[in-house]
Amino acid sequence: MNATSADILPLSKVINILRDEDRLTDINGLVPYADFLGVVSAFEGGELVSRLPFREDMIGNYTTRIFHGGVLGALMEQAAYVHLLHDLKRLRLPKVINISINYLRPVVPEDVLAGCITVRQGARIANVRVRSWQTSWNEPVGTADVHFLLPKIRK
Amino acid sequence: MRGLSFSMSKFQDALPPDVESIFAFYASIPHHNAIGLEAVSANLEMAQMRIAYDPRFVGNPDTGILHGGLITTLMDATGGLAVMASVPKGTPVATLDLRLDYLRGAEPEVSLIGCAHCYKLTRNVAFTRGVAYEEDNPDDPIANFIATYMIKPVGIKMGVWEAGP
Repeated sequence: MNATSADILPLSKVINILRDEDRLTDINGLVPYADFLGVVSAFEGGELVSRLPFREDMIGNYTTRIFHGGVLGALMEQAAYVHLLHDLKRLRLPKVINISINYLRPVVPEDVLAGCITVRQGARIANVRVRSWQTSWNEPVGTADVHFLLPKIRK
Repeated sequence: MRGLSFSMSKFQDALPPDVESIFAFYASIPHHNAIGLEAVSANLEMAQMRIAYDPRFVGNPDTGILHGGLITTLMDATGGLAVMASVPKGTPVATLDLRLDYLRGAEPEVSLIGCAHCYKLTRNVAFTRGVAYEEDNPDDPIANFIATYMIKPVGIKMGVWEAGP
C-alpha cells in the first residue's frame, strides 16, 4: 500500500483516515498476519469479498495438497473483521470474542474467497457470518460465525 | 479427564498409532514449516504443539497481540495431532468443525503452547477439546478450544473403542 502518515499512527487512529479516504480495505496491509497471508479485500459487484491467493506454503497436507484448515479459519476471521469495519455505524476496532468454523469441503490449491453478512450489530456485540468458496458460491468450502466485542466509544 | 486406551484385540489388521511417523508427517506439512509450528508430544492422553512468537503473526499492531487466525492454526493442528495419536496408524483425519473462545490476548514475545485431548472416538467422528496458553503460564489459558474431526478407516477394520482403564 502507499506509505502515508497513516503508517506511523496507531491502528485505532488510522482506521478513521482510511474510512475518510474510502480505502478501509487497506487495513489488511496494516494487520501483520493478514499481510503475511496475503489477504486482499475488495468490492466485487457491490459485495465486499476477501480473497486469499493460493501459496505453496499454505498446504496442510503434502499428499492430498489441500489448504491447512487454520489458514481457512484465519481468512474467514479476517474477512469478518474487514466486513464489520465497513458496516460499523460508529467506527472502532472490534475484538474477536469467539469463532466457530465449519469445514465443508476440501480446499484445493487455488484462491479462496470469503464473503460475510453482519447478522447483528448491537452497542457492545456484533455477530458476523462468513461463507468461503472457490469455484462457485453454491459450493462453500467453509462457513464461520464470529462474535466481536465493540469497545466503548468515549464521549 | 480419562484417556482412551488402545485395545489391539478389537482392531483386526489395525496397527497402533505410531507417534514417530505422525511427527514426521507433521514436520513435512508446508504450512507448519512456514510458520515454525512444531509438535511437542502426543499420546492417548494429550497432544502438545508449540509456536514461537513472531511479529509477522500480530493481529493488532498497537498492542502486539497475535492474530486469532494463528491460534486457529495452532489448535486445528494440535487437535488433529491428538486424534492421530488415538486412532490406528494411517487413518485419514479431517477437521469437521472447530470453535475457539479467545479468553484474553496473548502476551507479546512469548511462545504459545497448544494442548488438546481426544476425549471420545466413534467409528467416524473424533471429539477433541483443549486450550492454548503462553509457554510460561499454563494456568491461565488464552483460548479454549473444541473441535470434531472426521476419521475414515481405509483398509483398516475398525473395532469398538473403549474408554479406559
